[in-house]
Amino acid sequence: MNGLAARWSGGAIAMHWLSAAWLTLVFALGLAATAAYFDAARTFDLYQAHKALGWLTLVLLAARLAVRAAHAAPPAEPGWSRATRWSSGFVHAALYGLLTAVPLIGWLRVSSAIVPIPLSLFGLAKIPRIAPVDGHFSEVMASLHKFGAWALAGLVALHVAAALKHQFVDRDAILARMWLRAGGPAP
Amino acid sequence: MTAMLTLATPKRHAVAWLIAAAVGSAPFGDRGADAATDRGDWRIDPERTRIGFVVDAVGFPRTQGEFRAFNGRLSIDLDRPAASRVAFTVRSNSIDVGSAMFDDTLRGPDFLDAQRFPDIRFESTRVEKRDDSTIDLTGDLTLLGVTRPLTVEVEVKRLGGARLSFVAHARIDRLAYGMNSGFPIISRDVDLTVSSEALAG
Repeated sequence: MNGLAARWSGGAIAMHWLSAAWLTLVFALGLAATAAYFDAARTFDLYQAHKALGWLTLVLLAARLAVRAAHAAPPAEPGWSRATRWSSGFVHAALYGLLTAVPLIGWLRVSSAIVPIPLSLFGLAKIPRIAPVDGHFSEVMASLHKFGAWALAGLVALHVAAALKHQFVDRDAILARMWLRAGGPAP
Repeated sequence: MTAMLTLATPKRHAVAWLIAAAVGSAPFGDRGADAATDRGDWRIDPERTRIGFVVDAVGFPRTQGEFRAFNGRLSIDLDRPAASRVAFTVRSNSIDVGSAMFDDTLRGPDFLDAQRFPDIRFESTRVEKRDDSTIDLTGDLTLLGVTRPLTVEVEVKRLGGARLSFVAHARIDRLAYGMNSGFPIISRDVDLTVSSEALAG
């Protein structure tokens, strides 16, 4: 098994799991807001929370990239096939791409919406608008945002499935490198 | 049942209480009413008054809310119904849809603009009987500083000696008052329902 040196930095591990929890919450808020299950008041609050926390995922992502830049990634696992390296690289690149694009598109959607609802971080700060009001553009962005969110959910599922495969089928140390405690999950 | 109020009373009386009922107070019930109610001394029971509204929007649940602060004034002239006057004022910042953030948005400049226009007012101009329990009350509604005629349908029912119940319905075209925000995602029609009880004396 790999020693401590092969693990991700403590900051990278913390940011990874914080992002996972945060995104799960933002996704759940988005689903609840659009489910047409709650009344107007709850739906409004759900949207406001989704928008505020969703906007903050961009801040979280910037912090995460800074942490990533400050500490070297652990070396690639030896013995990976070309296909494994390629698929891993593709999924991670796509995850970062969607983690950037989905909140940005959501921000464009609410910026251009003709319904003048506030963009606010729980009343503590205003989020600026980054697009002029345009109902058609806003609806297109809404569709893209929804599509992107489900694509991101699909990629996360793939990412989790791959981690489980490496842990329980390949029995390599990939999950241990990102696990919260050194030594990895209990066998 | 006897609680159902009949309008088959002399016209001036009918007109008087119809006007009153539409704004939350009524001067009298029927021919047998006592002198005090004949003079028009009725008052709203605020505990049993609800000024509710419903607005629809695309891709969003219907928004139901109410105004918590309101005030009805009434002066009835039984001999000259045309001289009777009814005024009803609602505080726009008392809007309540069940979410503080949503309320603040609706109080803001895009919707009720409560800072510039603290009051929504209705003042009657004409009363017409439709049937024994329904009247059409015409008046002027002032919203966002714009005054437009509005007809309110009022159903009235007597709940025993000194208590009158009524329900008033109106549909307001918010665009006519310059409240254009969010149209057409947010519907132009706002359905208003005022339900109230008035007490004699």
